Order: sequence, then C-alpha cells, then structure tokens
Amino acid sequence: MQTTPSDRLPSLRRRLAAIGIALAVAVLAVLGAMLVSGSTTHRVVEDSRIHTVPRILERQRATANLERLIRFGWITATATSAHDWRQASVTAQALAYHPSLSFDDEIRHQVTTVHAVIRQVASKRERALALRNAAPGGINAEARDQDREARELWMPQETILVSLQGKLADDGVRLMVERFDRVAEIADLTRQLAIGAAVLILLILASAALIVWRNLLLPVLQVAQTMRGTLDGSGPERSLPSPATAEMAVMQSAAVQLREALHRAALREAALKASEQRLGSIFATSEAAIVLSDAQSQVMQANDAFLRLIDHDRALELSLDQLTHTDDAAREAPLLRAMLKGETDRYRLDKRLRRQDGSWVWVDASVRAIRDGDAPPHQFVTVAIDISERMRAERELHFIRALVDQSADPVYCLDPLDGGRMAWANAATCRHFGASPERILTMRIPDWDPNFDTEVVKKLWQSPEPLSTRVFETTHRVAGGDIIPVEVSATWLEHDGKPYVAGYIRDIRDRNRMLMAVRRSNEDLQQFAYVASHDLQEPLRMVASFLQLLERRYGDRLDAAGHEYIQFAVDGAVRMKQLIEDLLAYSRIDSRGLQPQPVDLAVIAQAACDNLVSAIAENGGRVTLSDDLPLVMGDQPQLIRLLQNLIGNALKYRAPARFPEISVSAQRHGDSWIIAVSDNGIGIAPQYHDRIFMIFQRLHGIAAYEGTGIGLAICKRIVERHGGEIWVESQENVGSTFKFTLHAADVVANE
Amino acid sequence: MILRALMLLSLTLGLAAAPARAQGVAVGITTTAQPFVITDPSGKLDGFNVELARLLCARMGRTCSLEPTTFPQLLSRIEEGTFQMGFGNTLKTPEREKKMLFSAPIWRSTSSFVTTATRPTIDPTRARSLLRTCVVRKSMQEAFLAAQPGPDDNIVAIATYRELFDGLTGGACDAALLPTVNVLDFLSRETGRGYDYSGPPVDDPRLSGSVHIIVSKGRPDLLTALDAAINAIKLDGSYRILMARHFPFDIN
Repeated sequence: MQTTPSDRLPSLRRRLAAIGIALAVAVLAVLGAMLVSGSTTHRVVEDSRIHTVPRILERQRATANLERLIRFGWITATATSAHDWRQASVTAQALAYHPSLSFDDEIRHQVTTVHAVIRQVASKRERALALRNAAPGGINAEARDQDREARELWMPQETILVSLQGKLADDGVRLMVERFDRVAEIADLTRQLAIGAAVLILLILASAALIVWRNLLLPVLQVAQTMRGTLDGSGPERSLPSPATAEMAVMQSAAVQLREALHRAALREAALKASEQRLGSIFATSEAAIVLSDAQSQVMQANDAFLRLIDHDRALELSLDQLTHTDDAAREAPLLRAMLKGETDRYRLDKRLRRQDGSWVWVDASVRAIRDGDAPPHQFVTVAIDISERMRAERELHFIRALVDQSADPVYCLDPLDGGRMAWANAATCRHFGASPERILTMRIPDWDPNFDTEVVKKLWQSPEPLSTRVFETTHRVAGGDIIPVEVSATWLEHDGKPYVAGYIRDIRDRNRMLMAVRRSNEDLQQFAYVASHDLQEPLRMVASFLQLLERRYGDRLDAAGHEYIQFAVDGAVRMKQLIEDLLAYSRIDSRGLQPQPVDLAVIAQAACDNLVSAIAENGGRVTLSDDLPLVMGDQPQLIRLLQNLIGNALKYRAPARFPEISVSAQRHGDSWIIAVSDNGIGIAPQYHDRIFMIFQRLHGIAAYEGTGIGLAICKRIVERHGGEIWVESQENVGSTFKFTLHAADVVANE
Repeated sequence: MILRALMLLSLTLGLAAAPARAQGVAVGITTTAQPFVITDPSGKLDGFNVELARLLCARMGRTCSLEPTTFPQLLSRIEEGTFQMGFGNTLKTPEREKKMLFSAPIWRSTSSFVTTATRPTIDPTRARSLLRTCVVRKSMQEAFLAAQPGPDDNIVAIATYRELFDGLTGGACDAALLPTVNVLDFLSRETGRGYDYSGPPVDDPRLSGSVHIIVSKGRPDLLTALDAAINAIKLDGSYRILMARHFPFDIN
C-alpha cells in the first residue's frame, strides 16, 4: 500500500483523544478526589451530627441536669419545708438515674455517689423532722444537729458536681475542637485538592488549547486566510506551514488543491474572457466576413466585414441562400446535406455572394456546424474571405498561361538544382523537342543541347545571377533528331525559395540566314562606300589641285568674280574632301575597328585634349579631366576620336560671352561607366536632343559653324559599336552634357 | 348544557376535595400520670403530652383530634389504624415495630420500682416471686415482670397510672414498676408520702431507652411529617421550653 505524507504525520484525532482522555482522567481524578473529600466531609458531618453533636448536647444536658442535681441536693439539705426537700430528694433520685447522666461511667458513679449522699441527707432531714415533731414546740437540738450534719454532708457534693460540670464542659470543648480540627483538616485537604485539581485541569486545558491552537485553529486560520486571499485574488500566494497533523495535512492538501483549482479556473475564466474578447474583437474587426446563421440560413449575426462585403447596412433580414449564386448553391447543396446528416462538421467552398447593387463577389466560404451533441446542426458559422482579386489573378494567370501555352515560341523553365531538368514547358517546347509533356519534364539540358554536358551544366549554376537575363545562341537537338541553331534567353528566377531558370527558345535558322544576307550586303556596301570614298578623293583632289593651279597661272586674267568662283569651287572641293573623309571614317568604324580591350580613359581623354590643344588655346578654353577616370573596354583610337569630337564640339559651340569650361568625368552604373563631357556652351534645345546624333543633321548654317554634320553620328556609332548608349542633357544658353556608357574593364575581365 | 356540565364537574371536584381538607389526624393520648396528661374535672386534657401533640400537629399543619385512652387501647387502635398517631410514652421493641411506626425519640425513660420507703430495696429478678407488683397493662414493665419467675398473681396489670397509684396506696399491690419520671408527681403529693423509689432504676434494656410517638403503620407520610416537626421544635427551642414547664430537669 502506498503511503502519503499525511499518513506519516500524527493524527489530530489521536492527539485530541489523548487530550480528552487526559482531561477525562483528570476530571475523574478530581471528581474522585472531590467524591472522597465530599464523602469524608459528609462522614465527618454525619459523624458530627450523629455522634459529636449528640455527645455535646448530651454533655450540655448532663451539665444542666447536674446543675439541677446540685439544686435538688441543696434543697434537700437546706429547705425548711419538708415537702420541698422531700420532693427535691425524690426528683434528685429520678434525675440521678436518668440516662442523661448515665452516658459516662465516671459521671454515673459520681452522680450515684452524690445521690447516695442526698439520700443520706434526706434521711437526716427526716430524722430531724421526726425529732422536731416529737419535741415540744418543735425545737430540738438534735434535730438541728441532724440538719447541720445534713448540710455539712451535702456541701462537698456540690464541689464534686461542679467539678463534673467542668469536666463535661471540657469534654464538650474538646469534642468541638476535635471536630472543628477535623473539619478544618478536611477543609484544608479539600482546598488543596481543589487547587491541585484546578491547576491540573488548567494545565491540561492549556495544553489542549495550545495543541488545538497550533494543530487546528492556527492552521485553519492560515488555510482560511490563504483561501480568502485565493478567493479575493488580492492576497499573495502564501506558502502554508508544514502541517502538524494528518488531518491538517489533508486540509492543507485540499486547500492547495482548491487553490490550484481556483487558480486554474481563474486562468481558464481569464483565458475564456480573453478568448471571448479576442473573438469579439476578431469578430468585430476581422477583415474576414463572419456570419452566424440558423438552420434556415437566416442570418442571425454578422460582422462589419460581411456587411461591407455584400454592401448592406443590416444583415438580420438577409438569407445566405438568397445571397448565394444559384450555380454555387447547387454545388453547396450536397455539402450542406452531408453536414445535416452528421457526416461532416465543416466544408469549404468558393462561391459568389450577391451584393446590394446586384454584382457578385467571390468569397472563400468556410462553413462550420454548431450542434448539441448528436442533434442536427441548429446554427452555422460562415467565415467568408473576399477572393475577388485572387479569382481575377487566377483568371489572368489562366489567360497568361494560355498565352504562353499557345505561344509559337517554346517557353521553358529549368530546375538548376536538378541538373537543369525541365520543370515546366509549353506546348511549343514539347513540339520543339518532339517530346510529350510528361517526357519533357524528365529531360535535362544535355538531353537536348549537345554543347552542354553534365559537368558544364553544373558549372553554369555555380554563380547565380538573380533576375539577370542572358540571351545566347546555341544548338538544340529537336524533333526528328536534327540539330538546329537557336537563340535562348535564360533568366534567373526565384519562386517559393527555389531558384529557376526560365526563358524562351527561338529557332534562328531563318534569322541567321537573313543575317548572313544582311552581313554580306553590309560588307558589300562598306566596300562600296570605302571604294567610292577612296576613289572619289582622287578626282576631287585633281579638281581642287587644278583649280588652285588655274588660279595661280591665270589668276591675273580673271576678274574678281572669276577669283570668287574659283574660291567657291575650291571651298566646295575642300568641303567635299572633308565630307568624304568623314564618310570614310564613319564607314570604317565597324570595318576597321579594333577588338575592345581595357583602356585607360584618362589616357584617352588626355590624347584627345592633346589633339585639340591649338583649338583649346584659340578659344581660351579649359578642359578639366576628373582624377578618377576609369579603365573601360574599348577601341582606343575610336574612343580618342569620340572624346575629341565631343570636346571639339564643345569648343566649336562655345558661348560668345564666356570662355569654354569643359570637364570630363565618369560615374559607375552597374557593369558600365557613364562618361560625361560637360560644357558651358550655347546649349541645345530639347527638341533637338535626338536629331543631333543623326548623320548630316545640322542645327546651324554652314556659315555660322563649319562642319559636315557627321561628327555626332560618328560618336553615336562608336558608342553603339562598344555596346553603349549616348545622349545629351542640355539647356539652351547654359551648356550641354554629352553622356555615354562603356563597359567597365573589371567586369569584362571577370567574365 | 355545557354550563350545567361545568357546574356538575365543579361540584364533583368540590365534593372530592372536601374530605381531603377535612381529613384530620386521630390522636390517641393515654391518660397517664402527671405531668404528661392532666385531666381537669371538666374532662379537658392538659399536660406535657397534650401540649406536645398540639405543638406537633400545629407544626405539621394537621388538624388533630385528641382522644384520651388507655395504653392498651392506644396500642390496639394504632395497630388498627383508628388512631393515626399515639402519645403513650412508648418504648420501641421489635414486636411493636412490626405493628406500628415509631417517631424520632422525644425523651428517655427508665423504669423504677416504687414501694414504701421503709421496704428494703427490691431485687428486680425476685420482685415477681416476692411482691405483688402493679404494672400498666401491655407495658414493657408488665413484659419484664412476666419474664421474671414468680406467680402470675404477683403481676397486677392495670389500665392507667392513676389506677396503678391507687392500687399501690390501696394495698392492691406491694410495689409498682413504672417509668421513673411518672412517679415524681405521685411522690410529691400527699398520697405518695411514705413511698419512694426502691433503689436505682431497673438495669434492663427493655425498661429503659427512648420514648417515641407511635404512628399507624399505614401512615408513613404522617411519620415523615411528624419527625420533621419533632426536629423543628428541638431546633427552635420550643421543645426545651415545653419540657421545662412540665419537668424539673431535662428528660431528653
């Protein structure tokens, strides 16, 4: 049997029983002592009443009778009347033998002796009386002698009787003293006994009170105080003292359990209240529409979100059946029947609810039944979430997916972490590779691209480039086994924490054929332009040379108009020559360009400035090169020409009122640098910002600013050949900033 | 009808209560020697016993009717119950206790022979054989003598003390055996001259001891009340006063 801590504690019942037994024993002892005392007292009293008092009374009566006997004796001895002394003598006889004088042998003997004397006295008086009666005149000396002898005979007896009286008095006093001493002794004993009993009972009661106080009242008060604090919730949780008895252990254990139960109940109540508040708050403030309806789908309670959802002010007169779209109601009916049969407790359904204006709103409705036991549901809680946006997005997604699926170009998505396995592909992709949709999802890059084996594919994904897009050309093994050139775009995506690579595949066999034709055509044109430009220069040089020779030899014969005409022809030839050189330079940008390589832009800018040193000096201009001009990828001669054209333009289109202030700077932008050439020239109106880069486009007449109108076109072509862009930011009469981009040398070096 | 029934009931209860109120105590009192009972020529009773009876009845709150009687009649009627209480200076004996109740002792008595003063002292054990002795009939003195050897004729049983003293002085008997105190009056009168106690009282337990009032056996309630009254008059001194008026010494 398992023992509890309370089993090991002493029992209060036993303690109280021990106290009760001790008290009972003490009370019994006291009662016994009192009984003994009372019995003794009673015995003494009874003895006093039965013996002592009668004996004292006996002695009092005897004393009184002795007194009377003295009187009767004296009367017998001295009375003159014969009747008197005779009667006294007779009475003395009756008295002498009366039991009142017979209780003590000594007294009886003395009294009898005295009575005998009285009899003698009476005899003498009788004789004296007889003598007087016989004597003449009643006078007789012998009679007097007899009377005298009688008196003398009696007198000592009085002393005897008085002495007896004294003895009786002393006896009476002795009896009384003895009795009172005994009574006093018993009284003392009784008092001591009472004091002892009182002390003993007080000690026991004090012990009982102490035990009851320590083992019962104090623990009960502490338990009560603890319970009061627990009930009020105001007092701190007191630790109960160690129980002294098993009963208190049980009570304290019960109190602790009750306190814990109350604490748990309070926590549950608080949690329930908090839950109710939360639920109420959630119900009131929830963005989700919450509706409580009865078995007839009549709305009983609804939150604001529901009213907003259906655009109603009040919900109590509404019925969910009437609000539900008929098509959706038909889908919902079997779910509701299953719930009514008790087969399910909840269901979830996307359905449409009718708004007050007649429009429909899609909701994700979660319906839960409320039932009592196994009874059919009597209430329903519907939580509806507006999914209009989601439905719209899904429709759009479906549309986009349809577009992608129906796209003529293959669109794909790879899983880079699975060896480039095809994760998704549209129908065109399946056709492209001649694989079924199921089969294609098992294919990996090496399965269709002979340029990539497994190891290469692994290396492809070692340096992910999120959201970067690469467009490259490769070859694919397509349906039928042919290997064809394709252009593939690959964009690094991330979805649900997983990386994907997606893009399109484009069959570029036709485009390549067209590019080849275009390239051949361009080459032909470039060759034609070069040849034309080169071949045109010679006749032009001859025209100019001969015109100049004509002017030197026959100039004196020409009038002013002739000189002017020759000058016009020479200028035209010169401009024609410059135009041809510029065209030749323009055409050589692509045909004669060098392969881009890292070049120092500072060196390039300085070279450009060196080429323009005389122009700079003539215009009083100043060119400031930034200290942090970078290394860029480029064709150095072309870049020198680029900067030279731009700085030259800045000098050419200077503002008349100020010296040219030109600066060259660079700013990093991603993988590229933006190079800026700023001036404080006349500026360019915004509408001309694009036009200026077109070939042969001039904003000013030839008379105002000389030039062929090809410079900025050459700049544009050089930048574009380097894969960059060029644009201008300008404000009239303030200045212009020409900006262009170049690939940074460090990025290209890393690639 | 109801009123009549109530009246009848009241009458019935009244009749039932009347005997209780009228119930008196029949007290027999022996016409013994003075000073116990004195009968004047008109027949009015007086003396120690008479006053004691009246005193005790008053203390008991009882209405007592005193009726003079002889000692033998007293014992008989107490036994019969026609006397509920009897004053006859009765000594307690086992035989009497079977027939009647005895009160607390009221005084103590001895018995003495009385004879002429010149006669030698009587030996009680030879009194019956030598002398004609007068005794009260049914008294302890008669029983004592009956127990002594001697002719029956020497026991002269007489009903009253007056007749006893008359018999003594008239020569009907040589001596008389009677309570010592009862003789005092006789010896103090002229008719008692020449007579005297014959020696000390008889030393026999049957002839000395406490004197009691006797009560009918069927009235223990009366006995209880009587004892309480005796105790009361002893405590308040009235008994001592009564005794002092009739006796020359304390006979208690």
